[in-house]
Amino acid sequence: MDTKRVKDLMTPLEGYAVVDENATLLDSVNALEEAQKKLPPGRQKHRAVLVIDKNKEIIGKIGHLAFLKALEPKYNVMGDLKNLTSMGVSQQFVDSLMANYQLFQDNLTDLCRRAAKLTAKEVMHPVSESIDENASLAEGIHTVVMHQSLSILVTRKGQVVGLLRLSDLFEELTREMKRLAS
Amino acid sequence: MPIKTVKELMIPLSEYAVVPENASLYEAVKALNKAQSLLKPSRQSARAVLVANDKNQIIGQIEQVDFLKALEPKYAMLGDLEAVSRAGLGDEMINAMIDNLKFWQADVDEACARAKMIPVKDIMEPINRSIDQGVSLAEAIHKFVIWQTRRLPVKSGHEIIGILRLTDVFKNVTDYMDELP
Repeated sequence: MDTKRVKDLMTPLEGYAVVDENATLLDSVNALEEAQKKLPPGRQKHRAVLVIDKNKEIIGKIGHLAFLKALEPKYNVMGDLKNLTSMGVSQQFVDSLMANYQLFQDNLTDLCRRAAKLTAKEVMHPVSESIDENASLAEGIHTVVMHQSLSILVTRKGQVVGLLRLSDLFEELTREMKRLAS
Repeated sequence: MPIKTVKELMIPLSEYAVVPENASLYEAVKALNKAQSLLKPSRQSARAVLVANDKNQIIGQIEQVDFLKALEPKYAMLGDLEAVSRAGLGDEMINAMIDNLKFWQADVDEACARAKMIPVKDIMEPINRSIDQGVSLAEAIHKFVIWQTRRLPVKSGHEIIGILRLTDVFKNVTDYMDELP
């Protein structure tokens, strides 16, 4: 197992959902659905869409949280939500945000209809975390753990060629645990 | 596909992987596999295990990243990894942890072999956030967004009765969006 490299576990870019930065959120959802259908049997489902610019460079990612956040436009005026979360906000404070900012006052049908037309560029968060395809499995685990990310980009000579997903690392390691235990 | 309620979307505790706090990491992996085999095919895969105390109260959870983290004991000295990660990490610092601080010096195989000796209570994340089963889906989405979490324990009164997963909410809302005229 220690001879394995990141490239042995990564999901190649061709198998991933990729959309143009000007695609709509609904296009992104459909691209994700299409990518799920192409997954080989037994592989964990995708949970994100990659976003490319006009030069075909990967510039961002839309995960489940980014998608749901896009439903409510008022989150955009609240600044960096990740910083807010890292302060450890209480249940009471979270409830007060909803009341004071009057979040989700429109019904979900209207919110979904509006969000469906947003562009991928408006919803994505930038991605920069990456690892070389020849890095060891330990380095791959370490990078995913330190970034607390569900996936990181895999590069070959600086070009993105795939993604290393937490779920695939987890499967590989638990397979090994079971093998060692048997 | 109509928008569902929190109660309709949550995974009931009876279908979730739950292990006692004295179980090992390896036993948690086995419990996750078993729960996975019991999940309806239409559901997204199971990716976390709940931890119960001797009174059968749910006190913590272990996500996939916690499993990986547990294999390198040195992560414990970093404290709150989520906070460290949010502070922003450069490639140099990440590589320096391996080169200078000697993270991951043991083989990955060796680390996996230790899984039987690591108690889940040492690696679980305590549960300190929840929602009531009666809240609207919009309120649940708000809590996912603000807490930046992928799972929310659902309570009836003071008792946890299930887990609402981000992935199931995403699926329900996107199916609904897709079918809007």
